[in-house]
Amino acid sequence: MMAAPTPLITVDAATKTYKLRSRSLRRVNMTALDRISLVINRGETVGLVGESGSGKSTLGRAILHLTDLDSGKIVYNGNEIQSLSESEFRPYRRKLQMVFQNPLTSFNPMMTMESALLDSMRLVSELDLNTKRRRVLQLLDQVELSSRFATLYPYEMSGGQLQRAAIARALAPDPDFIFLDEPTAALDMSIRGQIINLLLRLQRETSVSFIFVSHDLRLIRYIADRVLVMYQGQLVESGDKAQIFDHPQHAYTQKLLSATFVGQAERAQARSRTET
Amino acid sequence: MSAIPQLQDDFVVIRRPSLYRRLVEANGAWRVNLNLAILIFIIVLGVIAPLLPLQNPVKPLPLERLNPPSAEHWFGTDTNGMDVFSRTIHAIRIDFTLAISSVVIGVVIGAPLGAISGYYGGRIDDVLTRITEVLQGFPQILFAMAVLAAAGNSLINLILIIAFYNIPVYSKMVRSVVAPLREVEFVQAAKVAGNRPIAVVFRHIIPNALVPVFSQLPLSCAYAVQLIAGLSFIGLGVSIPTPEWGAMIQNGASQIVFGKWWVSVFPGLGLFFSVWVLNNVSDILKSLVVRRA
Repeated sequence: MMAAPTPLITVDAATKTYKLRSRSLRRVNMTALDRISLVINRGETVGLVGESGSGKSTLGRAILHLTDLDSGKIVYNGNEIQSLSESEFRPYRRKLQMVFQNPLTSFNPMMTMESALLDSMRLVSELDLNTKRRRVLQLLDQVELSSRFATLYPYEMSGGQLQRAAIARALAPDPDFIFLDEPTAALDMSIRGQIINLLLRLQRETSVSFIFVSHDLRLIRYIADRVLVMYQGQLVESGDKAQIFDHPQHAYTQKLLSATFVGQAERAQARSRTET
Repeated sequence: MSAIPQLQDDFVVIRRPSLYRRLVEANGAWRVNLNLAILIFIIVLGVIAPLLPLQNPVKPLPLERLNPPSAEHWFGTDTNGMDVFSRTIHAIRIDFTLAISSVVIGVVIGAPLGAISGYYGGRIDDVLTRITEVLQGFPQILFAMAVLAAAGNSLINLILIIAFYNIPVYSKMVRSVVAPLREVEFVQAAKVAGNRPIAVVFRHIIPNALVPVFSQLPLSCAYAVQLIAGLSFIGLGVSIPTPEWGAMIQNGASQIVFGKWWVSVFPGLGLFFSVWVLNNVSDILKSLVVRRA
Protein backbone atom coordinates (compact mmCIF):
# COMPACT_ATOMS: atom_id res chain seq x y z
CA MET A 1 0.00 0.00 0.00
CA MET A 2 1.08 3.53 -0.69
CA ALA A 3 2.06 5.96 1.98
CA ALA A 4 0.06 8.93 0.71
CA PRO A 5 -2.62 7.87 -1.77
CA THR A 6 -3.14 10.38 -4.56
CA PRO A 7 -6.61 10.58 -6.09
CA LEU A 8 -6.63 9.40 -9.70
CA ILE A 9 -10.33 9.65 -10.39
CA THR A 10 -12.84 11.64 -8.38
CA VAL A 11 -16.55 11.24 -8.98
CA ASP A 12 -18.68 13.95 -7.41
CA ALA A 13 -22.46 13.71 -7.12
CA ALA A 14 -22.86 11.83 -10.39
CA THR A 15 -26.49 11.41 -11.33
CA LYS A 16 -27.98 9.56 -14.26
CA THR A 17 -31.63 8.84 -14.91
CA TYR A 18 -32.89 6.66 -17.71
CA LYS A 19 -36.28 7.56 -19.09
CA LEU A 20 -38.10 4.39 -19.91
CA ARG A 21 -41.48 4.24 -21.47
CA SER A 22 -43.63 1.40 -20.29
CA ARG A 23 -46.26 -0.27 -22.42
CA SER A 24 -49.06 1.91 -21.13
CA LEU A 25 -47.20 5.01 -22.42
CA ARG A 26 -46.58 6.03 -18.84
CA ARG A 27 -43.12 7.51 -18.41
CA VAL A 28 -41.00 5.61 -15.96
CA ASN A 29 -37.79 7.13 -14.66
CA MET A 30 -35.11 4.78 -13.55
CA THR A 31 -32.33 6.31 -11.51
CA ALA A 32 -29.18 4.39 -12.34
CA LEU A 33 -26.86 6.73 -10.46
CA ASP A 34 -28.12 8.82 -7.57
CA ARG A 35 -25.58 11.44 -6.43
CA ILE A 36 -22.66 9.03 -6.41
CA SER A 37 -19.39 10.39 -5.03
CA LEU A 38 -16.23 8.40 -4.79
CA VAL A 39 -12.47 8.63 -5.05
CA ILE A 40 -10.17 6.14 -6.68
CA ASN A 41 -6.53 6.36 -5.75
CA ARG A 42 -3.59 5.50 -7.90
CA GLY A 43 -2.73 1.82 -7.85
CA GLU A 44 -5.57 0.62 -5.68
CA THR A 45 -8.30 -1.92 -6.30
CA VAL A 46 -11.79 -0.85 -5.41
CA GLY A 47 -14.37 -3.61 -5.14
CA LEU A 48 -17.86 -2.63 -6.28
CA VAL A 49 -20.76 -4.81 -5.19
CA GLY A 50 -24.48 -4.52 -5.61
CA GLU A 51 -27.36 -6.38 -7.14
CA SER A 52 -28.19 -6.37 -10.85
CA GLY A 53 -29.55 -3.02 -11.97
CA SER A 54 -28.01 -1.12 -9.07
CA GLY A 55 -26.04 1.09 -11.44
CA LYS A 56 -22.60 -0.52 -11.24
CA SER A 57 -22.11 -0.75 -14.99
CA THR A 58 -23.55 2.71 -15.55
CA LEU A 59 -20.95 4.10 -13.16
CA GLY A 60 -18.16 2.46 -15.15
CA ARG A 61 -19.62 3.53 -18.46
CA ALA A 62 -19.86 7.10 -17.17
CA ILE A 63 -16.20 7.15 -16.09
CA LEU A 64 -15.24 5.76 -19.50
CA HIS A 65 -17.36 8.34 -21.30
CA LEU A 66 -19.64 5.74 -22.85
CA THR A 67 -22.67 7.29 -21.11
CA ASP A 68 -23.43 10.95 -20.42
CA LEU A 69 -24.26 12.06 -16.92
CA ASP A 70 -27.31 14.19 -16.11
CA SER A 71 -25.32 16.07 -13.50
CA GLY A 72 -22.21 15.71 -11.41
CA LYS A 73 -18.52 15.82 -12.01
CA ILE A 74 -15.88 13.29 -12.94
CA VAL A 75 -12.28 14.41 -12.54
CA TYR A 76 -9.38 12.39 -13.87
CA ASN A 77 -5.88 13.46 -12.93
CA GLY A 78 -7.06 17.00 -12.20
CA ASN A 79 -9.01 17.34 -15.45
CA GLU A 80 -12.77 17.47 -15.56
CA ILE A 81 -13.72 14.86 -18.15
CA GLN A 82 -17.46 14.33 -18.04
CA SER A 83 -18.32 17.52 -19.92
CA LEU A 84 -15.88 16.93 -22.78
CA SER A 85 -17.10 16.07 -26.24
CA GLU A 86 -16.19 12.71 -27.70
CA SER A 87 -13.26 14.14 -29.69
CA GLU A 88 -11.99 16.21 -26.77
CA PHE A 89 -12.12 13.11 -24.59
CA ARG A 90 -10.24 10.89 -27.07
CA PRO A 91 -6.75 11.70 -25.68
CA TYR A 92 -7.88 10.29 -22.31
CA ARG A 93 -9.21 7.08 -23.84
CA ARG A 94 -5.91 5.26 -23.67
CA LYS A 95 -5.57 5.97 -19.95
CA LEU A 96 -9.06 4.71 -19.04
CA GLN A 97 -9.73 1.14 -20.13
CA MET A 98 -12.30 -1.55 -19.54
CA VAL A 99 -12.65 -5.33 -19.43
CA PHE A 100 -16.11 -6.56 -20.29
CA GLN A 101 -18.18 -9.22 -18.63
CA ASN A 102 -18.62 -11.56 -21.56
CA PRO A 103 -15.31 -12.31 -23.29
CA LEU A 104 -17.10 -14.07 -26.17
CA THR A 105 -18.82 -10.89 -27.36
CA SER A 106 -16.19 -8.34 -26.43
CA PHE A 107 -13.94 -9.13 -29.40
CA ASN A 108 -14.66 -8.23 -32.99
CA PRO A 109 -15.25 -11.62 -34.65
CA MET A 110 -13.50 -10.40 -37.80
CA MET A 111 -10.22 -9.51 -36.12
CA THR A 112 -7.33 -11.66 -35.00
CA MET A 113 -5.99 -11.06 -31.51
CA GLU A 114 -3.08 -9.18 -33.03
CA SER A 115 -5.32 -6.73 -34.89
CA ALA A 116 -7.54 -6.36 -31.83
CA LEU A 117 -4.56 -5.50 -29.63
CA LEU A 118 -3.10 -3.21 -32.29
CA ASP A 119 -6.47 -1.51 -32.54
CA SER A 120 -6.46 -0.78 -28.82
CA MET A 121 -3.05 0.88 -29.26
CA ARG A 122 -4.30 3.19 -31.99
CA LEU A 123 -3.88 6.23 -29.74
CA VAL A 124 -0.36 5.22 -28.73
CA SER A 125 1.46 7.50 -31.13
CA GLU A 126 4.95 7.19 -29.69
CA LEU A 127 5.43 3.63 -30.97
CA ASP A 128 5.74 2.62 -34.62
CA LEU A 129 3.87 -0.34 -36.08
CA ASN A 130 6.71 -2.83 -35.74
CA THR A 131 7.25 -1.96 -32.10
CA LYS A 132 3.53 -2.27 -31.49
CA ARG A 133 3.49 -5.70 -33.08
CA ARG A 134 6.28 -6.82 -30.81
CA ARG A 135 4.43 -5.30 -27.86
CA VAL A 136 1.38 -7.42 -28.78
CA LEU A 137 3.43 -10.57 -28.30
CA GLN A 138 4.90 -9.19 -25.11
CA LEU A 139 1.41 -8.44 -23.78
CA LEU A 140 0.18 -11.92 -24.68
CA ASP A 141 3.18 -13.27 -22.80
CA GLN A 142 2.28 -11.08 -19.83
CA VAL A 143 -1.20 -12.64 -19.64
CA GLU A 144 0.30 -16.10 -20.09
CA LEU A 145 -0.82 -16.69 -23.66
CA SER A 146 1.71 -18.01 -26.16
CA SER A 147 2.53 -15.99 -29.27
CA ARG A 148 0.50 -18.29 -31.52
CA PHE A 149 -2.66 -16.66 -30.11
CA ALA A 150 -1.76 -13.52 -32.07
CA THR A 151 -3.05 -15.10 -35.27
CA LEU A 152 -6.22 -16.60 -33.81
CA TYR A 153 -9.77 -15.34 -34.20
CA PRO A 154 -12.05 -15.07 -31.16
CA TYR A 155 -14.10 -18.13 -32.17
CA GLU A 156 -10.96 -20.24 -32.05
CA MET A 157 -10.32 -19.48 -28.38
CA SER A 158 -11.95 -20.44 -25.09
CA GLY A 159 -13.64 -18.01 -22.72
CA GLY A 160 -10.72 -18.01 -20.31
CA GLN A 161 -8.19 -17.39 -23.06
CA LEU A 162 -10.33 -14.59 -24.47
CA GLN A 163 -10.63 -12.95 -21.08
CA ARG A 164 -6.83 -13.01 -20.74
CA ALA A 165 -6.61 -11.43 -24.17
CA ALA A 166 -9.19 -8.85 -23.06
CA ILE A 167 -6.99 -7.99 -20.10
CA ALA A 168 -4.00 -7.71 -22.45
CA ARG A 169 -6.08 -5.44 -24.66
CA ALA A 170 -6.96 -3.21 -21.72
CA LEU A 171 -3.30 -3.04 -20.70
CA ALA A 172 -2.01 -2.40 -24.22
CA PRO A 173 -2.27 1.41 -24.29
CA ASP A 174 -0.60 1.67 -20.85
CA PRO A 175 -3.67 2.84 -18.88
CA ASP A 176 -3.95 4.34 -15.40
CA PHE A 177 -7.35 2.84 -14.71
CA ILE A 178 -9.24 -0.29 -15.77
CA PHE A 179 -12.91 -0.85 -15.09
CA LEU A 180 -13.38 -4.59 -14.66
CA ASP A 181 -17.07 -5.27 -15.22
CA GLU A 182 -17.57 -8.71 -13.66
CA PRO A 183 -14.61 -10.09 -15.58
CA THR A 184 -15.00 -13.56 -14.09
CA ALA A 185 -18.78 -13.93 -14.10
CA ALA A 186 -18.89 -15.73 -17.45
CA LEU A 187 -16.01 -18.07 -16.61
CA ASP A 188 -16.03 -21.36 -14.78
CA MET A 189 -14.58 -21.74 -11.30
CA SER A 190 -11.18 -23.15 -12.21
CA ILE A 191 -10.46 -20.31 -14.66
CA ARG A 192 -11.65 -17.62 -12.24
CA GLY A 193 -8.79 -18.11 -9.82
CA GLN A 194 -6.22 -17.89 -12.62
CA ILE A 195 -7.70 -14.65 -13.93
CA ILE A 196 -7.82 -13.12 -10.45
CA ASN A 197 -4.21 -14.00 -9.72
CA LEU A 198 -3.24 -12.66 -13.11
CA LEU A 199 -4.95 -9.35 -12.33
CA LEU A 200 -3.24 -9.10 -8.95
CA ARG A 201 0.15 -9.78 -10.50
CA LEU A 202 -0.41 -7.28 -13.30
CA GLN A 203 -1.40 -4.62 -10.83
CA ARG A 204 1.81 -5.13 -8.88
CA GLU A 205 3.78 -4.81 -12.12
CA THR A 206 2.01 -1.81 -13.63
CA SER A 207 0.45 0.04 -10.63
CA VAL A 208 -2.79 0.52 -12.54
CA SER A 209 -6.01 1.22 -10.61
CA PHE A 210 -8.96 -1.15 -10.79
CA ILE A 211 -12.62 -0.94 -10.12
CA PHE A 212 -13.59 -4.56 -9.77
CA VAL A 213 -17.30 -5.27 -10.08
CA SER A 214 -18.50 -8.58 -8.78
CA HIS A 215 -21.38 -10.38 -7.13
CA ASP A 216 -18.92 -12.68 -5.48
CA LEU A 217 -18.10 -11.29 -2.05
CA ARG A 218 -15.36 -13.81 -1.40
CA LEU A 219 -13.65 -12.59 -4.55
CA ILE A 220 -13.99 -8.95 -3.49
CA ARG A 221 -12.59 -9.77 -0.10
CA TYR A 222 -9.61 -11.43 -1.77
CA ILE A 223 -8.79 -8.81 -4.37
CA ALA A 224 -10.02 -5.39 -3.20
CA ASP A 225 -8.36 -2.78 -0.98
CA ARG A 226 -11.58 -0.87 -0.47
CA VAL A 227 -15.19 -1.85 -1.04
CA LEU A 228 -18.13 0.18 -2.33
CA VAL A 229 -21.67 -1.10 -1.98
CA MET A 230 -24.34 0.15 -4.36
CA TYR A 231 -28.05 -0.31 -3.90
CA GLN A 232 -30.68 1.08 -6.28
CA GLY A 233 -28.38 3.68 -7.74
CA GLN A 234 -27.05 4.90 -4.41
CA LEU A 235 -23.70 4.35 -2.81
CA VAL A 236 -24.89 2.97 0.51
CA GLU A 237 -21.58 2.08 2.01
CA SER A 238 -17.91 2.52 1.35
CA GLY A 239 -14.81 1.83 3.31
CA ASP A 240 -11.89 -0.47 3.89
CA LYS A 241 -12.38 -4.10 3.17
CA ALA A 242 -12.08 -5.09 6.80
CA GLN A 243 -14.57 -2.49 7.94
CA ILE A 244 -17.20 -3.51 5.37
CA PHE A 245 -16.85 -7.20 5.93
CA ASP A 246 -16.56 -7.13 9.71
CA HIS A 247 -18.80 -4.20 10.63
CA PRO A 248 -21.33 -3.59 7.89
CA GLN A 249 -23.36 -0.48 8.69
CA HIS A 250 -26.12 -0.46 6.09
CA ALA A 251 -28.97 -2.95 6.19
CA TYR A 252 -28.41 -3.93 2.57
CA THR A 253 -24.74 -4.73 3.16
CA GLN A 254 -25.67 -6.85 6.14
CA LYS A 255 -28.23 -8.70 4.07
CA LEU A 256 -25.72 -9.15 1.28
CA LEU A 257 -23.10 -10.54 3.64
CA SER A 258 -25.42 -12.89 5.42
CA ALA A 259 -26.65 -14.26 2.11
CA THR A 260 -23.25 -15.68 1.27
CA PHE A 261 -21.30 -18.65 2.36
CA VAL A 262 -18.89 -16.35 4.19
CA GLY A 263 -21.78 -15.01 6.21
CA GLN A 264 -22.90 -18.36 7.44
CA ALA A 265 -21.11 -18.02 10.75
CA GLU A 266 -22.70 -14.65 11.40
CA ARG A 267 -26.08 -16.04 10.44
CA ALA A 268 -25.74 -18.90 12.83
CA GLN A 269 -24.70 -16.48 15.57
CA ALA A 270 -27.69 -14.28 14.92
CA ARG A 271 -30.00 -17.25 14.95
CA SER A 272 -28.70 -18.54 18.26
CA ARG A 273 -28.99 -15.04 19.71
CA THR A 274 -32.68 -14.82 18.77
CA GLU A 275 -33.38 -18.32 20.05
CA THR A 276 -31.88 -17.80 23.46
CA MET B 1 2.76 7.92 -15.55
CA SER B 2 4.69 4.80 -16.28
CA ALA B 3 6.21 4.67 -19.72
CA ILE B 4 5.79 1.62 -21.91
CA PRO B 5 8.82 -0.57 -21.19
CA GLN B 6 11.57 -1.04 -23.73
CA LEU B 7 11.22 -4.13 -25.87
CA GLN B 8 13.70 -6.78 -26.78
CA ASP B 9 14.07 -7.80 -30.40
CA ASP B 10 13.76 -11.52 -29.88
CA PHE B 11 10.04 -11.67 -30.60
CA VAL B 12 9.06 -13.30 -33.84
CA VAL B 13 6.32 -11.51 -35.76
CA ILE B 14 3.83 -14.10 -36.97
CA ARG B 15 1.92 -13.91 -40.23
CA ARG B 16 -1.62 -15.12 -40.53
CA PRO B 17 -2.60 -17.47 -43.40
CA SER B 18 -3.28 -15.98 -46.82
CA LEU B 19 -6.75 -15.17 -48.13
CA TYR B 20 -6.74 -18.24 -50.38
CA ARG B 21 -5.70 -20.52 -47.50
CA ARG B 22 -8.51 -19.19 -45.34
CA LEU B 23 -11.03 -19.81 -48.13
CA VAL B 24 -9.80 -23.36 -48.63
CA GLU B 25 -9.90 -24.05 -44.89
CA ALA B 26 -13.50 -22.91 -44.64
CA ASN B 27 -14.86 -24.43 -47.85
CA GLY B 28 -12.60 -27.27 -48.93
CA ALA B 29 -10.11 -27.09 -51.78
CA TRP B 30 -12.43 -28.63 -54.40
CA ARG B 31 -15.28 -26.22 -53.92
CA VAL B 32 -13.02 -23.17 -53.96
CA ASN B 33 -10.89 -24.25 -56.91
CA LEU B 34 -13.77 -25.44 -59.10
CA ASN B 35 -15.97 -22.41 -58.62
CA LEU B 36 -13.17 -19.89 -58.93
CA ALA B 37 -11.92 -21.75 -62.04
CA ILE B 38 -15.36 -21.61 -63.66
CA LEU B 39 -15.82 -17.94 -62.81
CA ILE B 40 -12.36 -17.07 -64.14
CA PHE B 41 -13.04 -19.19 -67.24
CA ILE B 42 -16.28 -17.30 -67.96
CA ILE B 43 -14.64 -13.92 -67.44
CA VAL B 44 -11.60 -14.82 -69.57
CA LEU B 45 -13.92 -16.17 -72.26
CA GLY B 46 -15.70 -12.84 -72.30
CA VAL B 47 -12.48 -10.84 -72.37
CA ILE B 48 -10.91 -12.75 -75.26
CA ALA B 49 -14.19 -13.30 -77.18
CA PRO B 50 -13.23 -10.91 -80.03
CA LEU B 51 -9.99 -12.84 -80.51
CA LEU B 52 -11.63 -16.27 -80.76
CA PRO B 53 -12.47 -17.76 -84.18
CA LEU B 54 -16.20 -17.16 -83.67
CA GLN B 55 -18.69 -16.09 -86.27
CA ASN B 56 -19.64 -12.43 -86.36
CA PRO B 57 -22.17 -12.06 -83.51
CA VAL B 58 -23.95 -9.06 -85.05
CA LYS B 59 -24.07 -10.09 -88.71
CA PRO B 60 -27.60 -11.10 -89.81
CA LEU B 61 -27.89 -13.87 -92.38
CA PRO B 62 -31.40 -13.40 -93.88
CA LEU B 63 -31.32 -16.83 -95.53
CA GLU B 64 -30.45 -18.72 -92.36
CA ARG B 65 -33.09 -17.51 -89.91
CA LEU B 66 -34.07 -19.82 -87.04
CA ASN B 67 -31.84 -22.66 -88.15
CA PRO B 68 -31.56 -25.43 -85.56
CA PRO B 69 -28.15 -26.25 -84.02
CA SER B 70 -25.82 -27.69 -86.62
CA ALA B 71 -22.12 -28.16 -87.28
CA GLU B 72 -21.96 -24.68 -88.74
CA HIS B 73 -24.07 -22.91 -86.11
CA TRP B 74 -23.52 -24.88 -82.90
CA PHE B 75 -26.37 -23.20 -81.05
CA GLY B 76 -28.43 -22.48 -84.20
CA THR B 77 -29.44 -19.02 -85.40
CA ASP B 78 -31.98 -16.52 -84.09
CA THR B 79 -34.90 -14.67 -85.75
CA ASN B 80 -32.47 -12.36 -87.53
CA GLY B 81 -30.21 -15.20 -88.64
CA MET B 82 -27.40 -14.30 -86.22
CA ASP B 83 -25.23 -17.07 -84.76
CA VAL B 84 -26.49 -17.85 -81.23
CA PHE B 85 -23.25 -19.51 -80.09
CA SER B 86 -21.15 -16.49 -80.91
CA ARG B 87 -23.73 -14.14 -79.44
CA THR B 88 -24.01 -16.13 -76.21
CA ILE B 89 -20.27 -15.85 -75.65
CA HIS B 90 -20.02 -12.20 -76.68
CA ALA B 91 -22.89 -11.40 -74.30
CA ILE B 92 -20.65 -12.28 -71.34
CA ARG B 93 -18.83 -9.00 -71.95
CA ILE B 94 -21.78 -6.70 -71.63
CA ASP B 95 -23.71 -8.72 -69.04
CA PHE B 96 -20.85 -9.18 -66.60
CA THR B 97 -19.76 -5.56 -66.92
CA LEU B 98 -23.28 -4.31 -66.37
CA ALA B 99 -24.37 -6.66 -63.62
CA ILE B 100 -21.20 -6.66 -61.55
CA SER B 101 -20.33 -2.99 -61.83
CA SER B 102 -23.84 -1.83 -61.05
CA VAL B 103 -24.14 -4.14 -58.08
CA VAL B 104 -20.70 -3.19 -56.78
CA ILE B 105 -21.53 0.51 -57.01
CA GLY B 106 -24.81 -0.17 -55.23
CA VAL B 107 -23.06 -2.02 -52.38
CA VAL B 108 -20.18 0.42 -52.04
CA ILE B 109 -22.60 3.33 -51.63
CA GLY B 110 -25.51 1.52 -49.99
CA ALA B 111 -23.70 -0.46 -47.28
CA PRO B 112 -21.90 2.52 -45.67
CA LEU B 113 -25.09 4.60 -45.84
CA GLY B 114 -27.02 1.85 -44.07
CA ALA B 115 -24.27 1.36 -41.50
CA ILE B 116 -24.07 5.08 -40.76
CA SER B 117 -27.82 5.45 -40.36
CA GLY B 118 -28.02 2.32 -38.21
CA TYR B 119 -25.09 3.31 -35.99
CA TYR B 120 -25.78 7.00 -35.47
CA GLY B 121 -29.56 6.68 -35.30
CA GLY B 122 -31.66 9.76 -34.51
CA ARG B 123 -31.88 12.60 -37.01
CA ILE B 124 -29.26 11.19 -39.43
CA ASP B 125 -31.11 7.87 -39.52
CA ASP B 126 -34.44 9.59 -40.18
CA VAL B 127 -33.07 11.63 -43.08
CA LEU B 128 -31.22 8.72 -44.72
CA THR B 129 -34.14 6.34 -44.31
CA ARG B 130 -36.59 8.81 -45.85
CA ILE B 131 -34.24 9.35 -48.80
CA THR B 132 -33.87 5.63 -49.46
CA GLU B 133 -37.61 5.19 -49.18
CA VAL B 134 -38.15 7.87 -51.81
CA LEU B 135 -35.63 6.11 -54.06
CA GLN B 136 -37.38 2.79 -53.56
CA GLY B 137 -40.83 4.24 -54.01
CA PHE B 138 -40.03 5.38 -57.53
CA PRO B 139 -41.25 2.96 -60.26
CA GLN B 140 -38.08 1.35 -61.53
CA ILE B 141 -38.84 1.07 -65.25
CA LEU B 142 -40.37 4.55 -65.34
CA PHE B 143 -37.31 6.01 -63.68
CA ALA B 144 -35.01 4.21 -66.11
CA MET B 145 -37.06 5.43 -69.06
CA ALA B 146 -36.94 9.01 -67.82
CA VAL B 147 -33.19 8.98 -67.21
CA LEU B 148 -32.37 7.24 -70.48
CA ALA B 149 -34.60 9.67 -72.38
CA ALA B 150 -32.98 12.66 -70.71
CA ALA B 151 -29.35 11.58 -70.45
CA GLY B 152 -29.06 9.32 -73.45
CA ASN B 153 -29.02 5.58 -73.89
CA SER B 154 -25.50 4.54 -72.92
CA LEU B 155 -23.93 1.68 -71.02
CA ILE B 156 -22.72 4.01 -68.25
CA ASN B 157 -26.22 5.38 -67.73
CA LEU B 158 -27.63 1.87 -67.57
CA ILE B 159 -25.06 0.87 -64.96
CA LEU B 160 -25.82 3.96 -62.89
CA ILE B 161 -29.57 3.39 -63.06
CA ILE B 162 -29.26 -0.17 -61.81
CA ALA B 163 -26.72 0.87 -59.18
CA PHE B 164 -29.16 3.54 -58.09
CA TYR B 165 -31.80 0.87 -57.63
CA ASN B 166 -29.43 -1.29 -55.59
CA ILE B 167 -28.42 1.46 -53.13
CA PRO B 168 -31.60 1.36 -51.01
CA VAL B 169 -31.70 -2.44 -51.13
CA TYR B 170 -28.28 -2.71 -49.53
CA SER B 171 -28.56 0.28 -47.24
CA LYS B 172 -31.75 -1.10 -45.69
CA MET B 173 -30.28 -4.54 -45.38
CA VAL B 174 -27.10 -3.31 -43.66
CA ARG B 175 -29.03 -0.90 -41.45
CA SER B 176 -31.18 -3.70 -40.07
CA VAL B 177 -28.08 -5.70 -39.14
CA VAL B 178 -26.16 -2.73 -37.71
CA ALA B 179 -28.80 -1.41 -35.32
CA PRO B 180 -28.55 -4.36 -32.90
CA LEU B 181 -24.73 -4.43 -33.27
CA ARG B 182 -24.46 -0.93 -31.80
CA GLU B 183 -24.78 -2.14 -28.21
CA VAL B 184 -22.65 -5.27 -28.60
CA GLU B 185 -19.61 -5.24 -26.33
CA PHE B 186 -16.97 -5.34 -29.04
CA VAL B 187 -18.33 -2.10 -30.48
CA GLN B 188 -18.09 -0.54 -27.02
CA ALA B 189 -14.57 -1.93 -26.80
CA ALA B 190 -13.74 -0.27 -30.12
CA LYS B 191 -14.90 3.04 -28.66
CA VAL B 192 -12.86 2.49 -25.52
CA ALA B 193 -9.84 1.82 -27.75
CA GLY B 194 -10.24 5.32 -29.15
CA ASN B 195 -11.75 4.63 -32.57
CA ARG B 196 -13.48 7.63 -34.05
CA PRO B 197 -17.18 6.97 -34.75
CA ILE B 198 -16.49 6.66 -38.47
CA ALA B 199 -13.70 4.13 -37.78
CA VAL B 200 -16.06 2.18 -35.53
CA VAL B 201 -18.51 1.98 -38.43
CA PHE B 202 -16.02 1.05 -41.13
CA ARG B 203 -13.55 -1.14 -39.22
CA HIS B 204 -15.79 -2.86 -36.71
CA ILE B 205 -19.40 -2.71 -37.79
CA ILE B 206 -19.52 -3.04 -41.58
CA PRO B 207 -17.34 -6.20 -41.74
CA ASN B 208 -19.77 -7.82 -39.30
CA ALA B 209 -22.84 -6.74 -41.22
CA LEU B 210 -21.89 -8.18 -44.60
CA VAL B 211 -23.31 -11.71 -44.31
CA PRO B 212 -26.77 -10.92 -45.75
CA VAL B 213 -25.12 -8.72 -48.36
CA PHE B 214 -23.16 -11.67 -49.72
CA SER B 215 -26.36 -13.71 -50.04
CA GLN B 216 -28.01 -10.91 -51.95
CA LEU B 217 -25.15 -10.17 -54.39
CA PRO B 218 -25.74 -12.89 -57.05
CA LEU B 219 -29.49 -12.29 -56.92
CA SER B 220 -28.90 -8.61 -57.61
CA CYS B 221 -26.66 -9.52 -60.53
CA ALA B 222 -29.38 -11.74 -62.01
CA TYR B 223 -31.95 -9.04 -61.38
CA ALA B 224 -29.75 -6.50 -63.15
CA VAL B 225 -29.66 -8.69 -66.28
CA GLN B 226 -33.40 -9.19 -66.06
CA LEU B 227 -33.93 -5.44 -65.81
CA ILE B 228 -31.76 -4.82 -68.85
CA ALA B 229 -33.79 -7.40 -70.79
CA GLY B 230 -36.97 -5.64 -69.72
CA LEU B 231 -35.60 -2.28 -70.83
CA SER B 232 -34.42 -3.79 -74.12
CA PHE B 233 -37.93 -5.07 -74.71
CA ILE B 234 -39.38 -1.56 -74.63
CA GLY B 235 -36.62 -0.27 -76.86
CA LEU B 236 -34.35 1.12 -74.16
CA GLY B 237 -31.33 -0.54 -72.66
CA VAL B 238 -29.35 -2.60 -75.11
CA SER B 239 -30.27 -2.04 -78.75
CA ILE B 240 -31.06 -4.95 -81.05
CA PRO B 241 -27.83 -6.23 -82.60
CA THR B 242 -25.78 -5.96 -79.40
CA PRO B 243 -25.42 -9.45 -77.90
CA GLU B 244 -26.98 -9.52 -74.44
CA TRP B 245 -28.55 -12.52 -72.70
CA GLY B 246 -31.73 -10.87 -71.50
CA ALA B 247 -32.48 -9.38 -74.91
CA MET B 248 -31.68 -12.69 -76.61
CA ILE B 249 -34.04 -14.62 -74.33
CA GLN B 250 -36.69 -12.00 -75.02
CA ASN B 251 -36.04 -12.36 -78.75
CA GLY B 252 -36.55 -16.13 -78.72
CA ALA B 253 -39.36 -16.31 -76.19
CA SER B 254 -42.10 -16.14 -78.83
CA GLN B 255 -40.39 -18.89 -80.85
CA ILE B 256 -40.42 -21.56 -78.15
CA VAL B 257 -44.05 -22.48 -78.80
CA PHE B 258 -43.08 -23.26 -82.41
CA GLY B 259 -40.40 -25.66 -81.21
CA LYS B 260 -37.54 -23.26 -81.91
CA TRP B 261 -36.13 -23.60 -78.39
CA TRP B 262 -32.46 -22.88 -79.11
CA VAL B 263 -32.85 -19.15 -79.52
CA SER B 264 -33.79 -18.66 -75.83
CA VAL B 265 -32.42 -21.74 -74.12
CA PHE B 266 -28.71 -21.19 -74.80
CA PRO B 267 -28.50 -17.58 -73.56
CA GLY B 268 -30.77 -18.72 -70.72
CA LEU B 269 -28.27 -21.42 -69.83
CA GLY B 270 -25.49 -18.84 -69.96
CA LEU B 271 -27.40 -16.61 -67.55
CA PHE B 272 -28.35 -19.49 -65.29
CA PHE B 273 -24.81 -20.82 -65.17
CA SER B 274 -23.31 -17.40 -64.46
CA VAL B 275 -25.72 -16.66 -61.63
CA TRP B 276 -25.12 -20.12 -60.20
CA VAL B 277 -21.35 -19.65 -60.21
CA LEU B 278 -21.63 -16.13 -58.82
CA ASN B 279 -23.86 -17.54 -56.10
CA ASN B 280 -21.29 -20.21 -55.22
CA VAL B 281 -18.45 -17.71 -55.23
CA SER B 282 -20.34 -15.30 -53.01
CA ASP B 283 -21.11 -18.21 -50.67
CA ILE B 284 -17.41 -19.01 -50.55
CA LEU B 285 -16.47 -15.38 -49.92
CA LYS B 286 -19.16 -15.22 -47.24
CA SER B 287 -17.11 -17.64 -45.15
CA LEU B 288 -14.66 -14.77 -44.63
CA VAL B 289 -17.24 -12.60 -42.91
CA VAL B 290 -19.54 -15.05 -41.15
CA ARG B 291 -19.75 -13.96 -37.53
CA ARG B 292 -18.12 -16.69 -35.57
CA ALA B 293 -19.80 -17.06 -32.23
